[in-house]
Amino acid sequence: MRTNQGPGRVLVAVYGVFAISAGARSGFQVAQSFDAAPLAYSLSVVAAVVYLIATLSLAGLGQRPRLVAWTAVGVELVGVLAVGSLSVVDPGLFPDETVWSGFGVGYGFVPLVLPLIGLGWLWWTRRSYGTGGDRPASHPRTEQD
Amino acid sequence: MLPAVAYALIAVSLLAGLWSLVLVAVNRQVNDPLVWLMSALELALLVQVVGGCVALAVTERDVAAGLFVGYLLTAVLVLPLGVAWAASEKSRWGPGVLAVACVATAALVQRLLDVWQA
Repeated sequence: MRTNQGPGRVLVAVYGVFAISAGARSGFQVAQSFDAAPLAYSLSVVAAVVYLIATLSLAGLGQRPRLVAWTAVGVELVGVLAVGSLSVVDPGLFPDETVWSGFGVGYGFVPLVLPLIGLGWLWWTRRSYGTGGDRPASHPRTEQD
Repeated sequence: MLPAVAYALIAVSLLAGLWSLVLVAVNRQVNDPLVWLMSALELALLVQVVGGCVALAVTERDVAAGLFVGYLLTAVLVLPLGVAWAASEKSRWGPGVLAVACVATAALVQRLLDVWQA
């Protein structure tokens, strides 16, 4: 099954929302006052890029999207866990909010749950080609998607 | 900018989102009344861009202008993107995409209000 069909359609939409909001937020933070919180704002940019790559690859765009999606969602999970823990242990590190501080508390903890669902979905849809798959006959080639 | 208008937009967004979720639950396609509701919502959001910019120009408040206009414009973009992404999904998950877009729109209008009242 493709990652961008069925429930995956909704997952990509949620990722898209986060790509847009994290992108806009980080762009604004960097343009406005990068020096105020360089670490937090750099991480905001990283988070925005990760969300953007995850959105596009889960939507099936680009080269080897499934591999890219595994990587991006994996990095996202590590990021939210690392930044979440650090922001709780040492709040001084992050004078301004990022998407991932406090494990995404500012976004209803969606940033914490989203990568888990993303990894689960990639695992669930992993048999997208090969023997007896559900690939339609009109797409007989074994290109990765 | 009138908070009452923003609250009305949030209420309509959440209503449309709830409606979409019901369609997911009962496994139905998007229907015409929902399309009309979302079109009206999008139109109102476009009017809000104009109204918001005018309010920003005349207000005495110390509003973060870049942030405010950013939220105004983003709030307009989300519904059309959601509809475009939902259009080619012929299962119950099409309305699911619309639900995400509606909830995101409500959140953006709430943030817009926060920026205005900060």
